[in-house]
Amino acid sequence: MLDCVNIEKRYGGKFAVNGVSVRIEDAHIYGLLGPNGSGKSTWMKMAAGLIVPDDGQMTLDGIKIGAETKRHIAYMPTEGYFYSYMKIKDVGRYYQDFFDDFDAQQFEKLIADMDLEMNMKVRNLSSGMMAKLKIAVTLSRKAELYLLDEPLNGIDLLARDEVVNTILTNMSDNASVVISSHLVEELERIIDKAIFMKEGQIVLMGDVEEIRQERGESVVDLYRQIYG
Amino acid sequence: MLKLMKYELIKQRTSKVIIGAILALLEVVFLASMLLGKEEIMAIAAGMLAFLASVTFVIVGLEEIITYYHDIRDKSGYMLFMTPHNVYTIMGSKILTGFLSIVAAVVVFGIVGFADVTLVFARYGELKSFFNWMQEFVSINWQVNIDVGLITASVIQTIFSWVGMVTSAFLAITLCMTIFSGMRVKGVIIFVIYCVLNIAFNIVVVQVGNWLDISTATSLMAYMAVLSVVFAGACYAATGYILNKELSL
Repeated sequence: MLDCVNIEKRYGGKFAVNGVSVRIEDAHIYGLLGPNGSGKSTWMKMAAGLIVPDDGQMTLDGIKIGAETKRHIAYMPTEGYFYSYMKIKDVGRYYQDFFDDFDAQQFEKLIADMDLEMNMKVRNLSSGMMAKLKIAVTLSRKAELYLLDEPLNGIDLLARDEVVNTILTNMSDNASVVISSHLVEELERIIDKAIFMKEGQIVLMGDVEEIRQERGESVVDLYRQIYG
Repeated sequence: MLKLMKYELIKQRTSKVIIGAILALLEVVFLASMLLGKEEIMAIAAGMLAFLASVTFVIVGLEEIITYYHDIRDKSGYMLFMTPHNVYTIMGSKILTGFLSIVAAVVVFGIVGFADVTLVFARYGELKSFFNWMQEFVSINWQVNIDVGLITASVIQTIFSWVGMVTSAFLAITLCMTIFSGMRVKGVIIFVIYCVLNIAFNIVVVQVGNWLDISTATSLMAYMAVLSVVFAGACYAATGYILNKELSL
């Protein structure tokens, strides 16, 4: 699916991502783990086609990351990013206008399930509501790959559970999800692959179950070892 | 691209609605004062209509530029750049929206202006004589014939010059937010780059103009319109190239 070979991105001479090579395969949930500044968001933005790498190659099913791959990758930024004039229903219309894989009925259902209303103004939403809206609109796309950047940031425990459940129950069949987070406890129960990033590099990656069996440690323990 | 243009128009609709409302109000005042014979009020309304027409050029341009600045600086830029379009299409939609907006403004103000002048000439015949005298005066003193051809060429030149100015502002903003992103006082840097681009363009216009034998005002307008298109095209290509390489949301 998504292939990255020796990807590099520098800002002002400093590496944000340094020589990252990784293959994201079909039908898996990946946890992209690491503290703030480890390069997770930069890597995701490059995969989403929003930042161009300085070096290396990035392809989705053999197609170089760019305008075409944006049709198949659903990216959710960590920040609230909707136009402030919009209501929730306008956000749905916007996605419907630009993404052929957007399912408006699914969007309506998710909005109702999350106790949001179509006529709510985006600028009046709380951070929890905004997190739910971002997840709802992103998962209403029938994409091949979902890139969710810190979907659990800034929201309370109950909203986190709701967001996690929505991800698990609504991602399209055979699709893969990459979830970046430093909230490892929440992620451990849902991911089946883990990628640990530190200072712009991948320091460890693999199957979560294998990591547990081979090392006899949980992902949380491993996280503490690597970054502690 | 049409969908991109649709959302560009939605983002910039506020100023257009306000301008449209002010235009309608001034036109009502102008017509009512003409009907009631209140010539002073009519003259004030006519002056304000002319002022509104020129201000509209500035406001529509500024709104285009500010919208782009927000798109590239704010998180809402994700909405634009995550759409499955390349940066050239995105920038093209912005420039085309601006072009169509300013053409629409010219058409609306042109129709309103023509209708008002026709009404005024019908009611105050002596004003037509004054206008004819002005035409002759300009023709004798500056050898410029104000005819339909010159007016059309001037309008086209103004529109393309406007497009060139807006597109060069896009390039200035893009340079500031990418290559010069580490620098402070971004507003000043954007302004300086914008001035440098436009001064350089005007030097080229003068130099190339010196080589050519431009004998009439109409051909001068046509020459400037062509160079404005070339300038806008160069700024568009440079903006797309830099965004393609350096965009970082």
